[in-house]
Amino acid sequence: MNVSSGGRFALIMMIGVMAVGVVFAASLVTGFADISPQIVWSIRAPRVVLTLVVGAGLAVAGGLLQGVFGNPLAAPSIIGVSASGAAGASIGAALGIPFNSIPLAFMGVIIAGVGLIVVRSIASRDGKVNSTALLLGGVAISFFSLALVLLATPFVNREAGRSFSFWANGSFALATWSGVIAVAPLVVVGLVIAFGIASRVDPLSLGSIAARALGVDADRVTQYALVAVVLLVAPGVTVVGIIAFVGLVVPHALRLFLGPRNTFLLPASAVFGALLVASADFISRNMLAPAEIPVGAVTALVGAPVFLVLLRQMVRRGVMST
Amino acid sequence: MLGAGGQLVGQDETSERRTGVPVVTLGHQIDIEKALEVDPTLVLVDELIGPPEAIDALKQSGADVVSVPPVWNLADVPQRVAALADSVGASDAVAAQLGSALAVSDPAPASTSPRVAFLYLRGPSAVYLLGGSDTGADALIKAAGGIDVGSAIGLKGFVPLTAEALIEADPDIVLVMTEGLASVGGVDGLVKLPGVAQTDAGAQGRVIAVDDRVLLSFGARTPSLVASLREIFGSVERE
Amino acid sequence: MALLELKGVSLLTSGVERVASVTASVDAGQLVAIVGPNGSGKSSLLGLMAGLLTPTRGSVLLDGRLVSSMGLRELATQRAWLGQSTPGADNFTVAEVLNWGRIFAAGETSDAQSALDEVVEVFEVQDLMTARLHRLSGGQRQRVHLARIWLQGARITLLDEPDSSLDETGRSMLRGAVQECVRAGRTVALVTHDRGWAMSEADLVWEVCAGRIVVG
Repeated sequence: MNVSSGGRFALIMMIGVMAVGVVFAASLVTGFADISPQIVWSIRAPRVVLTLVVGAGLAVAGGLLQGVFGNPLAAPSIIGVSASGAAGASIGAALGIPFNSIPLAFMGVIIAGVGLIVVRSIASRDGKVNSTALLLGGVAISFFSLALVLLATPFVNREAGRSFSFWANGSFALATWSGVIAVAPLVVVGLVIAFGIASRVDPLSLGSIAARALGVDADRVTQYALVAVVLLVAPGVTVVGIIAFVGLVVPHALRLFLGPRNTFLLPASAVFGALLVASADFISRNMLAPAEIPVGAVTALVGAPVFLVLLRQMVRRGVMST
Repeated sequence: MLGAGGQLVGQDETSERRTGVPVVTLGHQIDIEKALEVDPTLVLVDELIGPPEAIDALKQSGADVVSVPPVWNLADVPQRVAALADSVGASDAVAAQLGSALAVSDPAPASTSPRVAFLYLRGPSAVYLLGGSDTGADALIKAAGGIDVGSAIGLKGFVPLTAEALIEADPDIVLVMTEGLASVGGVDGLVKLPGVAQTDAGAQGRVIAVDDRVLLSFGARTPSLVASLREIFGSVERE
Repeated sequence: MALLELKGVSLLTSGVERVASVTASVDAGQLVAIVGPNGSGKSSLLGLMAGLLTPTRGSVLLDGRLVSSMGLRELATQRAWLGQSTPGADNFTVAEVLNWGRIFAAGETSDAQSALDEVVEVFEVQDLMTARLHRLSGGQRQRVHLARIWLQGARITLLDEPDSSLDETGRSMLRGAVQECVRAGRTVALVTHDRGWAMSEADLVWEVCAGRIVVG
């Protein structure tokens, strides 16, 4: 096929993986406390692993949503998946399910799934999804879900620190190995699905009828994509809260270098999403040590200007598409 | 203790309750109506109480409102006693006597002083703070013969609790207020806060909870508090 | 046996009968022109023939088999379809878009490269291979999509007004390509407003009016 785009992919992946390695090592050795095996193993290691898993999930989910709905604004936080995942976790916690547990992760997945089904059915007509309606519906679901979180929070005051601010801005401060175990398998399944359907997401940009004429079952691909999105995002939210911008910025930035082919874009998004969140948490933890800046604030502080620059590039090039 | 007890017509929530004397505060604020109801001639407040409207109303009613400066360490206690004595008209002699009774002697520093972390906890709002120097608690801990770990690792005032900070601080004992402890679900809940389980204090469940109203009151009950703490600290062997 | 058969096919959407009880057939190697006024149901008819629309009554058979019983992928290897307009895929390159025709429908085969070269030449898109679709003119994009579905290697190709965004040169290129195709044994059915060409070139002309074929 196109040799140069394959070559670019390989290059970008190499750079990305190396950068991830660097940030991983740096996160293990840096911190307020003096380094010791206990600190590294029980505090820093689960934390950085979780940032990688959550970051990869968010970025791939964003790439998938943009590809499937052909809308550059599509991202997990905008479509309501993140917020409804948080609502699921809050409700679950209010019902007594402990944090950082697999049942709570599933609770988040279920509620996020419900939210997505509701929005999708509202935004569909004759099986065709109006992506603008989807995004608007997602915004409404987000507000509603965050209100549910607010309501549930007083009922959850017996457990360790999950304030509304925690949910709304995200925090890896309470990461534990059991949290990693609750999240990672589900995210991995999401990644497997995402990479599996990646090549079939491309022709969806022709519209669902033309895609079907080509032999690509647009509806089924979309359904798989949505299942993947919920698995990629919701479990992380139940442990860490909502982290904005990653799903929006990472795929768009990579598209400028790699083009829109999802077989390249999605794996690269996984790597760079992981890198972004791990780096953001590194800054969050170390800049004002021992105090912590909420990681969602860091990704927004970095992500928003980057996104504006990207936007300018896209407008310049005349490409406002996925 | 200054001999003016008979003249007390109103008290706040944090005072040791005297029967027959109504409580005129609500939360950390003066309840204007109740305060005016008891018609005081002298009102003793600390600098932090409010609301300003209540204080103005009391002034307008003709009462003498005296603001007693806040005290955050033990050395200032005699000063406070003197100010109070002055306002209620007690004699200097009585004041001096009381001052020395309330003075707390510095303990002999020991190599086996336990490391104590003071944690301010408010479960519902998920506010968890680690105390460093100048919180008042550090003075109490030192007076009781312990090492305030927050100060030891260089923290000033209250700092949001992070796992790394607490592990670095390495406390043998955690000092909290009773309501704060209850708000996080008791010792079981406390141990789930960042870093607690990894410290000796958390691992052994060594938690001291002191009544909210007494801990930082720096008043008449402080000496007995310090004595109790000293006893407990002495029984904890530093490993 | 006819390659494509319509047996009493009707289509009812939103209470309107768009196609009314059509029975017709297309033999292999034929060129069928579907003509008629706007709104007469030509696009719906083509969609039914492609198996993209499900008839409310009647059946569509491809090579003797019910189209409704065939999977999307299988159908794509047997028939190609291009709608009136195909927006989207703006950011993909021509080469990538062409590739979809190959991999999803036809499946990659050893003579894939030569098939590609041939089609690229026929539709004159050699110079556009690395360009992204949003940079192309309407006519160029149309040629790319035609090339794309040609690459499916399907036995019957269904085109809905393929000449609408093409200029005169484009149209003659299209006519040439269609004739080439039919000569090579493929079957083509297309909706067109170019009656002149339909009358002179087509083996079958279906005059559609109010959902029925009135002449043909």
